[in-house]
Amino acid sequence: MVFIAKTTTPNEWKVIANTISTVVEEATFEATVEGLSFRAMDPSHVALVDLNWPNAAFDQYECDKQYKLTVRVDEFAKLIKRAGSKGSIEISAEDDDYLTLKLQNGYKKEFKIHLIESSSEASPIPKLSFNTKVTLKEESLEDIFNDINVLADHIIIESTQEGITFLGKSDAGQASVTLEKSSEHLLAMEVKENSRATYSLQYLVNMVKAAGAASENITAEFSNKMPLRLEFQLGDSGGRIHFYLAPRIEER
Amino acid sequence: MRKTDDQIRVTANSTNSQLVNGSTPPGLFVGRYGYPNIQLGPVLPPYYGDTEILDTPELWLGKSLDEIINYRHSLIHGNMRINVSNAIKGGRFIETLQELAMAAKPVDLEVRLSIKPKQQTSFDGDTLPFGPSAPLESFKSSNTTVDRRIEKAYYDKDLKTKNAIISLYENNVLISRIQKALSIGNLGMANSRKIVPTRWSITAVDDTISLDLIEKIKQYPTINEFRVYHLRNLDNIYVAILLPHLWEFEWIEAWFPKTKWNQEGHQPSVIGDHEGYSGRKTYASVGGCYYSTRLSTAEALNREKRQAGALLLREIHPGYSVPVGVWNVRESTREQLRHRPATFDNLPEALDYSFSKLTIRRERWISNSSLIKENLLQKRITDFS
Repeated sequence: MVFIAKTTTPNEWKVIANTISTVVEEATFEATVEGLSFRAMDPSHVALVDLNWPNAAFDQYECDKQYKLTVRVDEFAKLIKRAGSKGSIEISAEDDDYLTLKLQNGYKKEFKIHLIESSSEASPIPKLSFNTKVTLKEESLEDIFNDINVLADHIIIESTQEGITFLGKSDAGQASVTLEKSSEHLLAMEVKENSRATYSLQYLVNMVKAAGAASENITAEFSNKMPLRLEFQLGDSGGRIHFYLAPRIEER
Repeated sequence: MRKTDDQIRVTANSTNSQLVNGSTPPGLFVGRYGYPNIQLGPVLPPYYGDTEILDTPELWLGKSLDEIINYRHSLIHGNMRINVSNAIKGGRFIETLQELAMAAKPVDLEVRLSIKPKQQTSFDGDTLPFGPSAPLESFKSSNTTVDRRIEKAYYDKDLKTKNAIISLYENNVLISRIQKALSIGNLGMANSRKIVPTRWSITAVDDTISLDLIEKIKQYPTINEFRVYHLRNLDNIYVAILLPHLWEFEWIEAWFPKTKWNQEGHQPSVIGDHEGYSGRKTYASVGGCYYSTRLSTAEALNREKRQAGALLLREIHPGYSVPVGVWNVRESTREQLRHRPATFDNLPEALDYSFSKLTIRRERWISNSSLIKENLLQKRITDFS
């Protein structure tokens, strides 16, 4: 068995470990000749994370065929944290028993953790076509979600040709944030059809915090009463994380 | 003088002596006022015999409210004020009570009270009502046959309280016996033993056992259908809905006007609490019944080796004139979940059936249930594949 994936900074792995830990306790990575991927839903099947990290994004990547590598996320995340803020990470496997993490930051550290048997089922990507697509700075979207979250647990996102509006309401009050099409914070916007849908803010706030950490911009896509998809870049590496979130039926 | 079960109806109001001779079920009560200096002591009826049923709620299913209240009113409570740390220090009073709490069957007692016992009528709804009580001067017990399982936990002073509770439960010791053992400081690491007020110990036992069971059921596959269980007991209506999802739990109770917690109201007062898959960090505001019904539910799922989301509803109608504790609710929901359920393909159908068994209108339940709202309003990714 040959699998080696090396990056010169620990940032991408940190983002991945944090992102994955928001949805599952055990993570199954799929390594192929093309690169590394991960896909899983959270236990309630409301959210799905889909990671795609092509081989070209690594400093070194070797994989001779398709492997499934399953780890306990809390263990894995703790080891990734040992890399500090700089330094390279090399992850490799020689057999089905262990995953080896080599961290280099002044001195060499080597950890081996047990690979475990995967108990999760395959998570198919939902079949969706999106009528609205907007791109914002990561900070802007995080800021907007936090604004609405002060007063509400759910967010209504509404798009028209004129712009996009984020709304929240609860017994405590109402909040709204509007970005007109001309706003400098709206880096790109395409609305094929006006769209309106409601989502749980708890998921969004956690996900933007975790997956957004290495992403300059975030692209959000959705349609009327349909799931939302957020796209995060994995630094400059060429990898990306898709986060799908199922909508809520709007309460009247 | 030996009495038969039928004669147990004699109420303790007939007792006007300072000397009480009788068989404790075994039973004891630890108050919570003045903590850590609390009042505690044995409970016993003024006669000898097989009095076990008087303080063993597991045996009450099928009994009427009058019968249960009679059991309770026949119990005289002698009490002494003492600091909770005395569980370790010992002394004859505490040690005798600790031994009583290990008893496998009723124990004959001779109790000397400092005044004639007086009837108290305050029921707090969580613990059980009693007959008259009075300060205790002294008491003597006859030989006690101990339950080996509890005795073993008592002598194991390296066993953590939590593990002791779970081990007793797994060895089929009744919850009411585990609770007494915890309350009198019979369980736990040597230097952490404490006397625990009865009311707190009930919830501690329910909480500890159910948390352990929940960790187990999270490993099991989910049920395959929506299920509704239904039971009427003591003018309470119980409905349990199990959903083919991951573990989550909600308990909602509705007190009708003229019941204990809604004396003045004109419409039912509805309260409840919910926890998701990862559990809760704060005490459930609805109180002890939350933990006792979570135990019933986790126990039923663990028996079947299945996982589910669970919503338990209870309507308390005016015929339930005296609340007889979380015990009644635990045993009723345990019984309910042993019945054969009605099964459905989806939540709306399961809800239609559930609401046909209840009297409060549908909208009122839904607006009070975060589990229903969440399951009706939140779509899943799999709905779009």
